[in-house]
Amino acid sequence: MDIFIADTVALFLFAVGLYGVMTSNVGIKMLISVEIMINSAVIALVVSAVNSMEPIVLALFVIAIAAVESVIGVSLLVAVFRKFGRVSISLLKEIRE
Amino acid sequence: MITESISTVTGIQSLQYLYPLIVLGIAGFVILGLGLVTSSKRAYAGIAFGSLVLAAILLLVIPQNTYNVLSDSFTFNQFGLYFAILFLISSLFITLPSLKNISAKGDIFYALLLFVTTGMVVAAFTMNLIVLFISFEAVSIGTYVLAAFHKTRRTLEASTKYFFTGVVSTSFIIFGLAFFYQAMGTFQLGPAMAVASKPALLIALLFLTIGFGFKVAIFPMHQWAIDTYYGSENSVSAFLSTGSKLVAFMIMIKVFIIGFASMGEDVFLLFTLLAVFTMTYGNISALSTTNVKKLFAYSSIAQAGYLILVFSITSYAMWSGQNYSFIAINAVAAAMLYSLVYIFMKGGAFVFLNTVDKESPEFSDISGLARKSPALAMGLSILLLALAGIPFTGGFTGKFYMFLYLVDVKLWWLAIIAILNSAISVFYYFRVIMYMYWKPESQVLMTRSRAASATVLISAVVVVVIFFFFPLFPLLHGYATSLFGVTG
Amino acid sequence: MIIEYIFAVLVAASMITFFTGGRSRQFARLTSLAIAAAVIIYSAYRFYPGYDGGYISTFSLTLSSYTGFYFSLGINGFTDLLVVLGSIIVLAALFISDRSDDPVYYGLILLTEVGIFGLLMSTDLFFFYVFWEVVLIPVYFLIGLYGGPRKDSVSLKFLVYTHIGSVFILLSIFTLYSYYYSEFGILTMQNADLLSTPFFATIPYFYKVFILTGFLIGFLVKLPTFPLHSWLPDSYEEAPYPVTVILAGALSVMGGFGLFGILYPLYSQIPSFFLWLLIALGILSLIYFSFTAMFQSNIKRMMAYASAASMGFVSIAFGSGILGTGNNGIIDLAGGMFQIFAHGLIVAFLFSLLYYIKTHTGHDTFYGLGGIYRESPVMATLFLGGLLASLGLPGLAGFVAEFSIIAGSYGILGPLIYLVIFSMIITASYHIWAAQKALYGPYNENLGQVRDLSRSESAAMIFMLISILVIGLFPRIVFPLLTGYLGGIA
Repeated sequence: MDIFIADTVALFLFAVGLYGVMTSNVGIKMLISVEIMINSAVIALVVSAVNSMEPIVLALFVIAIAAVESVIGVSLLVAVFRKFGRVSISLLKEIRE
Repeated sequence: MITESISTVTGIQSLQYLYPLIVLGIAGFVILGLGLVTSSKRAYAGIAFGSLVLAAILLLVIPQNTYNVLSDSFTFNQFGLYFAILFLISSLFITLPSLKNISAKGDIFYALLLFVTTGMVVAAFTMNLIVLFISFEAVSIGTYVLAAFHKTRRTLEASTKYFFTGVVSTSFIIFGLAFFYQAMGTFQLGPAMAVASKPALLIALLFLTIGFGFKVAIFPMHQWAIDTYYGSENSVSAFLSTGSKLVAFMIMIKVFIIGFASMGEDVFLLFTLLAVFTMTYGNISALSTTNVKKLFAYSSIAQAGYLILVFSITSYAMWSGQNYSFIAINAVAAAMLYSLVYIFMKGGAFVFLNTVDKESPEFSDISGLARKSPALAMGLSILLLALAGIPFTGGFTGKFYMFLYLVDVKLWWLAIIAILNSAISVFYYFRVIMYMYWKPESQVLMTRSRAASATVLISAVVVVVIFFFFPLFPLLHGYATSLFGVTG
Repeated sequence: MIIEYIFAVLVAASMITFFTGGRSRQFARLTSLAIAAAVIIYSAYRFYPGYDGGYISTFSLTLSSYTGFYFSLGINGFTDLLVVLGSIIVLAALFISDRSDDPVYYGLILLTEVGIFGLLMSTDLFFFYVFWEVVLIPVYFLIGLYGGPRKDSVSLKFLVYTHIGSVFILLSIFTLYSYYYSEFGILTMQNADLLSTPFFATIPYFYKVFILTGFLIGFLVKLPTFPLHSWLPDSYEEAPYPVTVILAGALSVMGGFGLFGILYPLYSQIPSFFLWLLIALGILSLIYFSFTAMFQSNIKRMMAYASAASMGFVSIAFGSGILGTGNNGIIDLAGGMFQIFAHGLIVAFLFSLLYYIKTHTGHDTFYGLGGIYRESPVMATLFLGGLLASLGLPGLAGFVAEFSIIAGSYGILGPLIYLVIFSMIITASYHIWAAQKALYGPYNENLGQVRDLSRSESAAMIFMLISILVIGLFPRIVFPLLTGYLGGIA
């Protein structure tokens, strides 16, 4: 039952993050939303560590990977900012004219 | 003391299984270090090439029996070995052709390529979802950077789209893994796993499908793929649509065939739907495009649709209670064969674009190619024939076995859809051939990229040889058996 | 074994042709002549002393015993006849090719011959399908590289249309393969196993229909039969003449071979509604194509439809021959197979002559031609001979086939036979009409001086006409092979 509640919370947070990614136009906002999604998944991982520590191990790795991904994301957005002048995603339509 | 504890964890003789990974990792750092000393692209490429070849040789000489290392986080078996070699091939594929387009910071490009390859090989050699996830992320993060290489407007756009969809898919995967654990109580994939909670497993199935589906570019999750394959530098596109896609595909084989073996019905319904939409969407969209690179991007989606038919076959065999071990092993072997051919035909096709002196050429830009460079036109034609699945190419063999087991498991209607799709695809592949052979010559020049031309020709030869090498399938059948024979 | 060596030589020669450069024409002609001579001598030697069914000179190479793939070749009376026909057609096509020394062109034509030989001689369904598909590629390139103004769309249409037809054959083969495994636990692609009546009888009815439908779609596209024909007129028209000869002569052979070579061994298991469907489609195509041919202004297009119409007899013969009993059935079936052979010879002859008319006068339409008998009597007479053979004049090869089909199927068709006769009358009328307009009547002065056939050209054409005549007068040369083949299966 506890897991059920925690899962629901995690799913809710996940949905919030997904909504943020889908509706936002600004790169940084999207990055933050993605972080919310990843962290909601971390919650789900942590609560499932009932019998063993395996999910906790994965959660630790996920936190590290999330950090790496933010680094990549921010540096990408910096590069986008230099080329395009803004970090608005709607500017990115070079490819599909 | 320390040495003793290491040896108890790994086992002395098991260290030899890790040599290929060590070679790749060290070579990556060597290239990075070399970047401080020299800026010779050739040196970087040479080291990368040499280490990839060395890793492949080391992989071939390690014992081929199933073996678990590092408290089961690594499982060496023939299935993994085969895919590890495929991934090395897909990296080797672009090592030399990419030389032409790398203007600065070649050290970072090649070091990243090697790190990504390391991640791929790790993914091949594990049945543990934690390690699978980490290696998958190693591949993803590396390829985000590779896609953005050069930082032009096009590649930045391609990479940004790739990055955001990739990160979203990552969070889906993590979520799916959490639910998978709640349902199964373990991250170790193996036969006969006990299911604790079916609803949690269903959610896990959905989330993991979305997560990995993004990387394989399955229909509703395909949009980034077209832009990224189209926008990235050619050899990076080749790598993304072969190596990176096949890693995700291999992980999917492990997760959905071994991990979700108890969910035949749901896996079948989900993946059949996805496969039908993916191949139909890819083929229909490819019909109207006139851009060669875009055509390859769409066809890459269609090919993903054929690839994921393997999940329909195995899960249907499980659901309908047919001769599961016979059909599942053969279907996985068919998927392995298709993956092998796929690397050469798709990789060769993308690398071909490096020989055209124009970014993202239209059909009209390569018209009359047969008169300018007959060998290259012949090579690309063979690759296109293979993609279309015409006999005397490996593409036919790959599709042949895949559709054969589709019929074998009595999914006639799905076989008809798949085979009609493949018949329609002939139309757009042959349009390219038509432009190359009987349209007036275009003004666009061909570059003198010997590496790219050689790659195209070699892959054309390999694709033809695969057709004539009939013992290949029984061999792969043996390899596929090792996937099902894992002892937890 | 000899026929396998001939095949190997052909494969090697077709590859070598691509590298012969300036002497490719000579090389290809000599090769095809040697192949045709070898095939004819071989069949005289092996089949003349008496043939009573079954495969002769079989050869098998194990490729993968695990998946049941063998590269196995063999030849029986019927396929031998078609191999002879194929080699003659390719020889004719090469004879009228004037493309000066283009190695790609000659290589592609020989590759087509490889595909046709391969699919006729394979006794393994895997390689049957592989060669079946492989024929398409060189023909696609031949139309695309050397075709008329609409070659782009026509070559693609040809390829996609016929390829879609073929993939259904593949599905049927898969189904057979899969059922054979579940029935006997053996993986095999051998004709002898998969196309055996006792095995086929064990398949559930629904899947029997599925398998037969798949095969039929593939075969009827190639034959071609009425609703599946729309690739035909365009491809025939746009292809250069030598390729049209191959298309009309050899590709329709593929459809006929599919019916009589692949499906006939299962005859007792084919549901009768299938046979009636075939008969109906045959009659429909006879009438439809005859009427369409009547309204063509382009002689090439008209001959294309005429050729398709006469293939209607083949499916009628197949359907009614199996339905029929005793001697009538045998006559009917043998007539159908004879028709494939005769039709191949006749259209090859007709299109070759039409090619000469086109090159000598610059026209192949009724408007452009007229009364060319005055200027080039030999050419006109020979063409008339071809037209008469095509409409089924007694004494020529076409008549024998059509007569045996009508005589054999009368018992089955009943009053429907009048439709067949009716379409034969239409056929006769537009053939005569074509001869009248193009060859006789007032001379079209716009043509100016028209060169007649040269000595070597007329010699070759007369030789072909004589062979049509000889086979028409002495059908006993051919019939023993066919009845032997039928007897071997029954």
